[in-house]
Amino acid sequence: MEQCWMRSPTGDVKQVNATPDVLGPLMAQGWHQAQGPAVAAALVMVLMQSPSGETQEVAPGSPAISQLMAQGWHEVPPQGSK
Amino acid sequence: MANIQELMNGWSYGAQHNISTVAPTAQIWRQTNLNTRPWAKVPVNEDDRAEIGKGHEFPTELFKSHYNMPTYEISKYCSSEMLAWALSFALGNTTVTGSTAPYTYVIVPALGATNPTGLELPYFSFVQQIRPGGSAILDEVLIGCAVRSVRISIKNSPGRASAMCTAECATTGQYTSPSTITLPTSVPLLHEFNAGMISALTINGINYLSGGSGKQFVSLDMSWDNNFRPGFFPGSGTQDGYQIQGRLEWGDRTFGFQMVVRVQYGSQEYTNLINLTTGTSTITFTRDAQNSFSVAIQQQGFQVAELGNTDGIVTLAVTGEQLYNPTNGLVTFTILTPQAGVCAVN
Repeated sequence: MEQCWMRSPTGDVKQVNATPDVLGPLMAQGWHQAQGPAVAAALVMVLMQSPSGETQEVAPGSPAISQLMAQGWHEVPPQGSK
Repeated sequence: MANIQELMNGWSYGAQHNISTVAPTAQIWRQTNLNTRPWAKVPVNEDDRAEIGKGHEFPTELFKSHYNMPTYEISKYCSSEMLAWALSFALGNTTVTGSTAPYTYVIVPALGATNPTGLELPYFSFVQQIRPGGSAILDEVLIGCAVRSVRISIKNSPGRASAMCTAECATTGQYTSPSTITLPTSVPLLHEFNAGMISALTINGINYLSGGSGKQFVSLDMSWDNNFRPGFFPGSGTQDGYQIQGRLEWGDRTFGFQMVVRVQYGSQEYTNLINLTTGTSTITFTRDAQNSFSVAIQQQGFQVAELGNTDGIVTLAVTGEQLYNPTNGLVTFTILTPQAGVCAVN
């Protein structure tokens, strides 16, 4: 049985069976999906490239992304990926 | 000059990190759209007509006011990908499970008291381009878009048009042009449904696939409307010197349900209406082992049932009334799709 992590309205994180019968009532009471401990530890950075080719890693969601894009920067695939 | 067929649309299937940060390019789909218009940007100017001291009643100067962005319809045939996208962004509380495709999305309306972003829903980025590059006719990304309403229509006609999904989208006025985004060269394969794939159709205890009411169903329209509040406030931001909205908060949300069924001897709809009968309603599309869509309206009664005529057949137009169930809530959507990362923040 597949399971997923859910956070209650009071902040408790609990692993539950991932079936609509279980999830639906929990979510209707205000529970939301939460990241499991292993997933929460990983943070993938966004790689940006300037018009002159310079690259810089930026945290996902950072306002710096929009500022760089306004200056012509592009997002590029992470180094080492195809 | 450009032909409208040159218009390329794309939007992020992943959610923006916040209202003002564009989604990563890798999460932007290129998609077709049955809506043949581009999303217009409408900056509004004002004048000094009302100010006295000029010696006359006529305006003498123009001032930048705000971006009055119209809503925009993304109109698609129902597919597992599109339904997962539209409903996740419209309802706000999504749980996705599965480590490999297919993924299961369970979606319910978010509650203001427990939603991590209050009354705000996830935001997405919308790209529209005509001949992007050095001499682009149109190349912009609208940042901070949200799904205001979703409408699902099912009717007894052949083909893809028998199951339609339309998402009405709103945006703040923030944009970047040129977008600096390269859309994928091709549109992804969508796993579409048609009305023939309906494998469950039970409304308030009446089964329209088998038994006495089998074959009596004509059409259905189901909608969700977030009824956004105006998002201008001190500090909401500017674009080109024009004020933009800094939040899109839901107002009094509504769920609409209308269906048309044929009338026959012993029709149950009037009886359910008069007896105030309520029950669950379940509609399921099953395409294959990787693609399905199911909606469970947890407790629904009938508000109005009006006798009429559809293509020469006597029919009832029934309006549903959904009640909030203390245990199961209002409505639960469950979608199985090969598409990963819908509404995820990365």
